[in-house]
Formats: sequence, C-alpha cells, structure tokens
Amino acid sequence: MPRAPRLRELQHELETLLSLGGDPDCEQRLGRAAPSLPIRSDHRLDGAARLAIYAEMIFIRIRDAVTEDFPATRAAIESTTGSDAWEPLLRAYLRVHPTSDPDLRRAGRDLPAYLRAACTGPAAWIGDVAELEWALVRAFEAADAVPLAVADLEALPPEDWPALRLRAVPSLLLLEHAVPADTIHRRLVDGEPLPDPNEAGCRLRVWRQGFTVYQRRIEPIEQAALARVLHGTDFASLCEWLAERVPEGEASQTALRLLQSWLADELLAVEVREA
Amino acid sequence: MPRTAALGIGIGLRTRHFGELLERRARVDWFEAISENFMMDGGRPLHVLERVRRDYPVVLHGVSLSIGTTDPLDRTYLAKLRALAARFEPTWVSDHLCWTGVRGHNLHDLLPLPWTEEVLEHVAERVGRVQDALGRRLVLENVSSYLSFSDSTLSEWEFLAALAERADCDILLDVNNVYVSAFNHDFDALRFIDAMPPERVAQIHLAGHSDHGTHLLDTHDAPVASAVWDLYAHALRRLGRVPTLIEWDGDVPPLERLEAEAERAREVFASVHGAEAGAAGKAHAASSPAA
Repeated sequence: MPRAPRLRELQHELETLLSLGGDPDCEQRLGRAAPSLPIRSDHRLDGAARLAIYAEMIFIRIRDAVTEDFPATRAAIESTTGSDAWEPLLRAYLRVHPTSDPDLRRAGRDLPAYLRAACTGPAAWIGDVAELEWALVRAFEAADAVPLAVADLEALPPEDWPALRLRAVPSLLLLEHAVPADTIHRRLVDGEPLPDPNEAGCRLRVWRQGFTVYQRRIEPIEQAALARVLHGTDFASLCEWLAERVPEGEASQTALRLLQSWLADELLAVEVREA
Repeated sequence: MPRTAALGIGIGLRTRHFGELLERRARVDWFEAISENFMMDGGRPLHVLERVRRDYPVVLHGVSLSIGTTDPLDRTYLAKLRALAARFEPTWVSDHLCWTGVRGHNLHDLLPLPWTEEVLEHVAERVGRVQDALGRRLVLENVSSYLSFSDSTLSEWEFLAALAERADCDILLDVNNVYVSAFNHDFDALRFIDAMPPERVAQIHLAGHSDHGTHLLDTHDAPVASAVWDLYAHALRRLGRVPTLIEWDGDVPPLERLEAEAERAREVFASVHGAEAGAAGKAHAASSPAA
C-alpha cells in the first residue's frame, strides 16, 4: 500500500495536466479537469487558470533550457519547417521524452535521437546538427583530467614505451556524419547560407581543453585510432594496428604524428593508478 | 537562531559573474550555489565554485529534491548531493517544501502540497530519511505558489512550523515567497512570519517578483519590492540575526547591482539589529568615507 494514497493520486493527476503546457488544447483540457480537483478558486482566478500558470511556466522553463543548448538545431528547424516550428517540435519531443533528470540541463538529452527518427529524407541532416550540439554540451561538463604532457613522455625510459597505456580525456567524443555537420552548425549559428547538402560528410573529434570545448575534423585513420584509445590500448598495440593500415614503413611516423597532435590538444590523460 | 553560523548577507552564485569573481572579491559575506548546477563531473563551474569556496562560506541550495513527491526518494540524486556537500563543505544544505514531479518525471517547477496531516506525516518521514542519507540537517524553504488546495486542514505556516519540529529540520524563510503567496491566496503575510519558530529559521531569501494583475509571479528578475523590504525588517525583528541572501536568476544584472542589493539588505539588518551584518559589512563600513 503506497504511503499518502490521496496525495499520490492528486500528484498523478496534476503531473498529467501540468505537462500540457504549450499544447494548443491545454486551456480546454485544464478547464474540463479543474472542477473535479480540490483547487481553490477566487474572484481573480479559477482553478483552471491557476493550473495554467504552472503549465505555461513549466513548458517555458524546459523550452528555454533546451533552446539554449541547441541554437543551431533550432535555426535548422525554423529554416526548413517555418519560423514558428520550434515550439511545436519541442512539445512533440517532450510528449515522447518527458524530462526525468533532476538536472534541467539534461532536458535535451534525447533530442538528437528524437530528431534522427523525426527528420528523415532531405531533412535528415538536422539530427546530425543536434548530435553535434549535444556533444559540445557533454564535453563542457565532462570530468576533469590531468593531460599527458610531452615532458611526461620524455621522462619515460625507451623500454617503457611499448607498454605505455594511452588513456583519452573523459571529454573526448568521436562523431561521424553523412553531412558536413560542422560547417552546417557554424553557418546556422552565424546565420549564413547553408552548404550544399550533397557535400561530403565528416568525422569529428569533440573535446575540452582547459574550460574551452573544441571540435575538429579528422581523417578516418585518426578516428579509428582514437576509437582504439577510447576502448583502451597501449602504444605498441596502436603501432601494430597502424602498421596493418598505413603504407609499409610509415606506422611509426604516423603514430608519432598522431601522438604529437593528441598531446598538443590535450586529448590524452595521465593514467591514475590505484594505490 | 538555529545551530548555524551567522553568515551575514550573501548572493546567489550565477554563471554571469564567474569571470569577475575569479578576479576580485565581492562585497558580500557568502554565496549560495544551486546544487544541481554543480552536479557535473568536471569543467569550469566546479572550478569556479572551488575558488569561491576558498574565499567565502558557501551553502548548497537544491531545486530537485522533491521532498513532497510520492515517488521513492531518488537515491542517485542524494548520492550526488552528498558527494557535493563532502567536497565543498557547505554551511548548510537547503531545498524546497514542494514536489517537482511524479512517476519518474521532473516538471522542473516547485509545486505546492495540500497542507494536511497525511502530507505532514509523509514529508516528515522523508525529511528524516534524507537527513540520514546526507548525514546533516536539511533546511527547507517555503515556495511561492499560484494554487492552493481546498482540502488543506492546516495553513502553510502551521504546516512548515510543525514539519520543522516533527522532522527536526530547519527553515529557509523566503520573505518574497511569503509576500507573493499572501497576495495570491489572500492571507496576511505577517501571520506567516510571526508563526515561524525563531530557533528553526536558518536563512532568509529575498528576491524580486512581477505583478500580473490577478496574481504575482516569483520571477527573481527584478529588485526586491518595497513591501518585501518592510516584511524583511519585520522578520528580522521577530526572528533575530538571520543570514540573508539576495536571489536574482532572470536577466541577471552585473555583480555591482547584486552587491548594491546586498548592501540594502545590510542597511535594513543594521537598522533592526544596530550592527553590521557579517564580515563584508564590517570591511565595507571601514572603507566607506566619513559622512
């Protein structure tokens, strides 16, 4: 038997009604439901009007939080569907993915997946843009790590290099898009014309260096190598893997070039050993 | 006064002021950080909070505990809150007397409860379990509300005072919320404040609201209203030297504007208690030119 059964029943009813904020028929549905609820009315506001205050505020608060994290996605929706299309899309999204996380900033967590399913055909690229924007948010608040420095490697005896564990910083994310998502994203944010949708896709790495989030296009070989680092590998294994994929004799050079780039961008973290 | 330090006058820690706070000392005594804004794994906000905590007392103020929901307590949330408190050692941890969702959904609003014995028992039991999980006393705030329930058998102030006693928790008295709710539900704000047990009131909140004719909205996007300053003075006379915080969350102004609002609270505090509130008050008074 649940505790506070009357309260539980009341909260279930209210939660359904207060989630209607932004819906075209919100006012009518609140008007029909309010008389049966134990809500006080007075000469200024009846029960439905009081419910509507909450319903509207709830929708606006969540809408604003999601919009802040997805400025380019919003611009994409508005440019393809209409200048008033963003709010209806968010209402539809929230019906499928009601917010559950205590942190309001996670309200848009499922939007990329939702858009991948909702935006198909010529508009499929909108899901890519949303995915990139959410990756930027995730990188911003990923766990801190002490970056591996050139000096750390210089201090390493040559015989220890093969067993050197390569560990990515927690903010590193790899993305692969069938469209030039980075260019589209930048142009949407800047309000510039979009590139040709038939332009080649891109592979991206997103990461945080200090407190700044970066994104950069990478070649397939770097993407695959970083994927191995993310799954956990050591330097010798990475060189062996590269040797099978680059022209003969270039494995060490490629490994060194990638390593230098990753160190410069602080993509690798110092391994924390358990005491 | 409850068993908490007399902190003086503080302001909310907001993103807009991060850069400035890393460069200069603010003319306030302490900061209040929204707990959920720092429940992340890493990044700049945590770095800023660390720096602020080095220089000022900090309290953690949550918006998603949902102490009044009939859902089970969110153990993951409580673990994060406990870890945050262990890391930043806040003077106290507060949240709201409300519910924010049910069936696993979070509406991200501070929703009112019916003030009944059944609900009092329900909330008091949950406060006890939260305090056990956190290993510390919880401070609960009265919310602004826009609806009330016809089956309430207690007033909000009777409920809050009884809850504090029954659950052995403290109270964050939001004077602006009292004013807003008093207007919206047509009760006497002084009755609310006079019913607060002084030994339980750990903190006062002050904020701005907006007038929509039929109702007031607790918008936190404006200066504290004149009538709320008057109510604050009354609360200080009634409750003693209660640490006070200025909240400003919408259209957050420059830090100087917040400091000026805190200064006004300091003046009201001094006019009631005849002394400067907190360390920043003393420092500011010492550096002010003679009249």
